[in-house]
Amino acid sequence: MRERARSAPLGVAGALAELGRSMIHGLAWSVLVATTAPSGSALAAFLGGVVGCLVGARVGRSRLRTFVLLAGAVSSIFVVAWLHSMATRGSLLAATLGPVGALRLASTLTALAVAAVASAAVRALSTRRATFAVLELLLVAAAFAQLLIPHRHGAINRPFYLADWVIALGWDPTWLFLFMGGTATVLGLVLLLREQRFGRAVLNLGVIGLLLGLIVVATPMIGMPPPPEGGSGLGLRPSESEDTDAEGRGGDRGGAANSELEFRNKYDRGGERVPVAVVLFHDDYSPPSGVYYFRQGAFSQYNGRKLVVSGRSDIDRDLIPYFPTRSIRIGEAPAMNENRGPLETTVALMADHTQPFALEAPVEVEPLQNPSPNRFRRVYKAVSGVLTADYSAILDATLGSTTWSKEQWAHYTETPPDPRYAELAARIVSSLPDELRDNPIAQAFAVTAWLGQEGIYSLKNEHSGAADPTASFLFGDLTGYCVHFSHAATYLMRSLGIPARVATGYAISESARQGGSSLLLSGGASHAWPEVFVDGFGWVVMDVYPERALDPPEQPMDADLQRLLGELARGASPIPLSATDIPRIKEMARRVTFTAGAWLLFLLASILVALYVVKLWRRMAPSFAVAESLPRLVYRAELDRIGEVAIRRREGESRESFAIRIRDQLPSFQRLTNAHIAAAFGGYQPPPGELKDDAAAVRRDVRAGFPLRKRFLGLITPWSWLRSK
Amino acid sequence: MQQAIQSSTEDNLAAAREVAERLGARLKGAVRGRDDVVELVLIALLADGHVLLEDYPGSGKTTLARALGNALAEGGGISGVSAFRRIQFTPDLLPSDITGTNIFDVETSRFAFRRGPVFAHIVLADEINRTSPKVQAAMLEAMAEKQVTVDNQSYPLDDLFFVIATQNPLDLAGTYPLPTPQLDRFLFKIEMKHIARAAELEVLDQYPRASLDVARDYPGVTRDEILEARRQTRGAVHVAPVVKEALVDLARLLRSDSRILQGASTRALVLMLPALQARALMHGRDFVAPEDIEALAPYVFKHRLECAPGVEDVDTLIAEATAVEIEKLARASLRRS
Repeated sequence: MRERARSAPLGVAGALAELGRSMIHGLAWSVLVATTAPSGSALAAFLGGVVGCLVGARVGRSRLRTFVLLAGAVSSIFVVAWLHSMATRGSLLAATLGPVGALRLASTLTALAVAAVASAAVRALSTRRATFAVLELLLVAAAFAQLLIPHRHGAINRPFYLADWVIALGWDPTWLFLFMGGTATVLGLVLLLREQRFGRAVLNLGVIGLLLGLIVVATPMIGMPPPPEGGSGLGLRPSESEDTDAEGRGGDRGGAANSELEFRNKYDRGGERVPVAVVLFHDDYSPPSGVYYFRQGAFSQYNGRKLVVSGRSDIDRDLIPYFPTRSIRIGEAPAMNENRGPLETTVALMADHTQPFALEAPVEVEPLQNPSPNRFRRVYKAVSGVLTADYSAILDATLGSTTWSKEQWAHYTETPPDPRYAELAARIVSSLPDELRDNPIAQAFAVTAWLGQEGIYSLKNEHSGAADPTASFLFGDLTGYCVHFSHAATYLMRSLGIPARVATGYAISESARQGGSSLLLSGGASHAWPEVFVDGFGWVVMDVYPERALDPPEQPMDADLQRLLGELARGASPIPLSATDIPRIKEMARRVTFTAGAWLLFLLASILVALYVVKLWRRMAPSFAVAESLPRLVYRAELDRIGEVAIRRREGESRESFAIRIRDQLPSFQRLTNAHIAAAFGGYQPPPGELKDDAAAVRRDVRAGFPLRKRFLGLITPWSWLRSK
Repeated sequence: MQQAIQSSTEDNLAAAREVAERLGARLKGAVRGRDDVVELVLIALLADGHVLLEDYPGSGKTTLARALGNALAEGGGISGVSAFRRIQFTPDLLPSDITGTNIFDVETSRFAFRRGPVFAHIVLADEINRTSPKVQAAMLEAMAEKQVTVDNQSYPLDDLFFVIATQNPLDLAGTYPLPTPQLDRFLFKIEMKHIARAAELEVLDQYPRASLDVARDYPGVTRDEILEARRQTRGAVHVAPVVKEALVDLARLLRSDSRILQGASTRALVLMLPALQARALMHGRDFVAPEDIEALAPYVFKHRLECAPGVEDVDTLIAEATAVEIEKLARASLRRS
């Protein structure tokens, strides 16, 4: 068989099939590449797949040894990888085409070469041996299946139009995708197995169906892979390599944590697009700074190197201390007055957090029932006293609280022993106009403004090794990220006697809301910022906004995803229409589902009916036939009949040999076969009566030789006639 | 009988079938356990082809050929041609040893042609691969042309010139294996296998009196009867166009196979067609059916194919190609013609 496959001549149909196959290869490669590379590479991968497939078919039919073939493919991949690294690292290409052009060219050529080599190898193997066709199938299936893998960092499934629709109906899209994948697999396999023997194909189909069933059953038991952990913000997540603190490792997985604020030289941005939470605003609110600050933790205790979480019970009591199981009020929430007004928000966490957070400053927190446990870890409602007054209103206020003890004052104004902080603070203040120079609020603003002007924002810096990283930053190159800026600002303010601390959580621009009521927080929104305590206002954010940044600006979050997740958190149908529209849309969806189901049923039913009609017609045809086609039709009818009890001619077996083979079971079939052969090749017309007698004899033999159960099963099988030949 | 032949085709065929059956019964009585070979030899005889038997010494080749010769009544055709001759091929044989030679007649002072052993109805060419190519060529010319040429003078052989050649598949030292183009002159190459146990026992039981009894029990046939049966078979057994197409396609399929260096020749098909007709006749049909192709293809094609290096299994190649054509014929038979 193997020899045959190698030498089978390629007809027009064969060539067309080969071309179609190569197109599928190309498509699979372009789909595989398209998600990670520019469009040029996808096109190159398509070409590579097509060419590779065609070449692979040739190679597969050649006399090249399989081992040599495989070794060649593997070594070519290595050569391609080496060339790619040469092209991107070397300066020659970059000098002639520019860095972007060089990178594009390299990735395009690599996609072309990898797709071509891999496709050729897979195709050649699959040409050699039928078993290797599985590889080919896997390649194509994997390429298209990865389109359906949960996207948007595990937050939602793709394709959106389907997933959204299914979510609107209140189902889990996972099932739809499982179903679709299963159907596609079965269809693909049917096509693949078409060329082989029919019985084998049906058997394989059954096995595959069983496997699919197993997957479907196993999915709810084992569960789908969980979405990746979010919130790598600011290195607040314990890192596997750097942070060895047992404290940091504990339960602190994902989310802006409050355990330790680490200075890092290179800040990992990997998780910044991962959604970690969605916040629903129950009312419209524009912060005076234009930025929403969600406070989770605060660092006010100086430990000789940096600010850490204070262990004292009378410090930083405005934070939400734990995830409440019932409604709690925050210990030191700011008073509601003309400066702060209440605002309700619902927070739905998608990644684990060690501590709840809320829009500053939280007053009351109440747990809510999770409307979508598949997506959210926790959902709670928070009432915040948000700043309604303009920042200019603070100018006239006084710093600190009158109720503070001396220890509290000392705690919030403790600075490193380094005298340079005080010197720099004095220099910054000296630039203030005379009338504001003694105003501590103005001094605080001056500090943040100076840092914003002089500092350079970059996630890459070289301060973490220093004894005092903040000093290394502030008196060094002034390049760092929010942890550096907030520490520097806090130390400078404290050296001016201003009670300040570093707060952490999420900060996100008001524009990210895009006018909607939901706000999606991603790992990239993690932030640390300085705060000062203002009498009558509580802790007020005094963030530094560096004017220069070395890093590219952040991409805005996906608006659709934000809206969809917001609606999910609300626990309602996520269609942004009026309440009366929702039942209508549900009804529509139901009708669409129903209609599709009805059509499918109709299609199946008509196929079934067609099969039965043909079957009946073939069985009845001898009764209506003209004399000259009678032998043929009688023979066909009886062939169908014995096919129903699984007596079938083998491929390539002559009718006469077949009749001899089944002589023991159906002795009378030989006579009918001879009559048919005589008519077909000898031009004979046996008398109709004789033919009918022969057919009756076959019927008798079938009745005598096979149990009723088997005959009945054959009779009701609609496609039995398809297999008689 | 003469009247019956003229009356209708069916009667003619019946007569031809009767001749074949008579001959078959006689041969089967003489050679036990070789019914398949006997049938093939008869087919070849009716199809005017020659047969190459390849098997081990003492497996009944000579017995078969001699029985065939004995079954023929002497006489008929060119006068003085005997019914059966056996030629044992040896390396020192000369062409004239088989064709005959001109001998100077002292009485008439003239050269007179003295016929060699090929002038017979049935010739057993024993161990044909043991003689030199020169002798082989003379023999093969006689087979192909039905004439011998001595001193530029051609002498026709009898119409019923039927050669059963044998060769030993082992013990090839010092032999001159027949090249494929020469093998092409044989209609069938039959590889005989050892006969079944029961048949072998039967042979032992009957040996001393076998040939005598057979000659008594079964009547022989005449040369003219065989020639007439040949003529009738060729003329009256119907070959459907699809069957001819299948034959041509089968040959083309074999030629296009990359594992075969040299495929079947057109001559193979030309020779095969009467063989198919003969087989149909012997199976009681007056038309060629797919089963005839299925049955004869291995014997017709096996010695004509030259395989690519490394390909050993010619039988499988032929079986695969035949299955393709048989399948086509089987499917065609269910279609409206």
